[in-house]
Amino acid sequence: MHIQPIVELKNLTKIYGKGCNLCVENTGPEHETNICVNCNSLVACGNVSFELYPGETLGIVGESGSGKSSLLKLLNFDIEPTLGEFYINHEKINTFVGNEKVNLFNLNSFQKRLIKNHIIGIVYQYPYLGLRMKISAGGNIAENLIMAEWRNIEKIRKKISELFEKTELPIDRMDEQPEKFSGGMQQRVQIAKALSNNPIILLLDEITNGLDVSVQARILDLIRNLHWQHNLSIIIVSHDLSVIRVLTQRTIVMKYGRIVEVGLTDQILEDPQHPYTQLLVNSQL
Amino acid sequence: MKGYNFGFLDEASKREIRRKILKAIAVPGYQVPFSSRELPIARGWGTGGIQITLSLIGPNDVLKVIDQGCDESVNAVNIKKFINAVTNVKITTDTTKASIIQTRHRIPEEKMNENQILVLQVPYPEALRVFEPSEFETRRMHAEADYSRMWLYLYEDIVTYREISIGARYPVMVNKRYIMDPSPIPRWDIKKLNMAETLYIFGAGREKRIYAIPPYTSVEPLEFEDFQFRVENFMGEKCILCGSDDTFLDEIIDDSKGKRIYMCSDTSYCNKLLISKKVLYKR
Ligand SMILES: Nc1ncnc2c1ncn2[C@@H]1O[C@H](COP(=O)(O)OP(=O)(O)OP(=O)(O)O)[C@@H](O)[C@H]1O
Ligand SMILES: [Mg+2]
Ligand SMILES: [Zn+2]
Repeated sequence: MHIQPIVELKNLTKIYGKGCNLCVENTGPEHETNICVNCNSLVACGNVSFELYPGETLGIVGESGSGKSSLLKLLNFDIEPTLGEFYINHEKINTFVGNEKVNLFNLNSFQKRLIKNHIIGIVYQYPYLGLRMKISAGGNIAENLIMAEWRNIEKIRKKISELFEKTELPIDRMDEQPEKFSGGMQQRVQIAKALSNNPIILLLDEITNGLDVSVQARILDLIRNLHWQHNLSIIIVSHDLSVIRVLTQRTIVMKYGRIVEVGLTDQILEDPQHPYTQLLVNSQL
Repeated sequence: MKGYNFGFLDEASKREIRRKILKAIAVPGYQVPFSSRELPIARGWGTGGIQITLSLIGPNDVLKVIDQGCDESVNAVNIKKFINAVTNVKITTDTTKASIIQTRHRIPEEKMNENQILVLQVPYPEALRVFEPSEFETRRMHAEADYSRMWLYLYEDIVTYREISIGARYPVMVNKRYIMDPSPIPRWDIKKLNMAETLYIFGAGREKRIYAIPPYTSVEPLEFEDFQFRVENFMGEKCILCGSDDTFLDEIIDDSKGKRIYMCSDTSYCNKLLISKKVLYKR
């Protein structure tokens, strides 16, 4: 049986700098660099293609600077790609862009905002990227609801309370600024915000980074529960293979902006094919 | 005044400002940049409004100038003197007799009509500036009608104060498209902007912006379903002079007794009522 992917990404390339015709050719794992010798530009992602299937949790691993965060930011329209095609196959999208299959990177900024607000939820690697630290934690979530045309304070606050409960945050602190919160709480506020408009795709970037082990474990449980409850399709970036092992069914391995290996998570962890993946797996055993 | 063109500004400058006014009228609530001219008055003292008035005024116009509702304040008198010196137009304090009214911080109590223009002096034209310092970013928000942060600002205000605490400069949505700063008029005056018969033109001299609300344009104060826009409440107080309880009142502390007293902020309207009452009384 053929299952239609919910996300299709084709030949995504992101070059920082002016770029040249040789950038992609000059970079990647075989060159052991992401910087083009010809023009000095940096290729954060080069020809990245993959599919995400409905209800799947897809992991992305790779060393620091391999382009993982850039990839998620591209999918959330935070940064513009140099090249590439991005499709989401879901009926919810048709109300925003019509029935034709269109490359989402070519939409106007208004349409992109609709998709960000209604289809995608993102948790950034660093809480300051995803939260306004001077606005109350509840307000950070309210912003998303407001974008979806919520105009009733009582209803907004009720929804914030529900999301706080779901993400195990103390409801009585919803009017405090997240800068006063611990790292784990800030990540939870980000997760609550990401869930606020019932997204169908969740992008998670190193959400357990810098948290102590018990907090990590609870966040992972939370993600697993949310995944089931909301039938989400998730892309999760982590350099921590134990996170990948616990949460994902398939995994992509990146290096110097390229995908070097894709496969079922179990297979990748038991029998890595690419030398870099072998190194990665062996170093974390 | 000798040696000056009628209306002080040269005809080319007036035409340029009128073109910007036309654009502002064509896109209600949108801030149109203009090249603010030098005037013999310091910027920030109503030069935006004065340039609009000077570029619109003709010899047959009748001008009224008010400052916070008052025709006789030093500011209003200086502006009147200057405009009169460079145009020789008739000056009035009667709202119903004026063809152009220039104002700061108030809209007259008496209803204005289609043949009148209200020119408002604006200190800060950007409603979004309270939460966003970057001009690039506020322009983007206007262009994309991306106003969620304005609403978020109101949300935070409600969370902090249990109400929307904004007094003057209450943000409004013009023609269901642009969020606009109505200048520091009290909330009391906001409703007068909606579907009005009169053309409103806003000028910010220092910030070099003109914007407008053409007649019969919808102007809605931003509000939540359960935290609605409210005008000032004077708790049944009356004007100590004319006895009105349906006008915008200024609160004054009576020095001798330390007591609060209230007076109409629109002084010419107050006078008018007073005179008509005296006439009645004499009869
Ligand atoms: N705004 C930018 N301008 C220039 N280069 C950038 C910019 N943002 C990221 N990069 C570069 O792009 C490359 C990929 O960065 P990215 O943040 O995607 O890496 P990552 O895989 O998420 O790394 P980490 O595991 O450390 O989070 C890095 O070399 C980074 O220095
Ligand atoms: Mg990263
Ligand atoms: Zn190059």
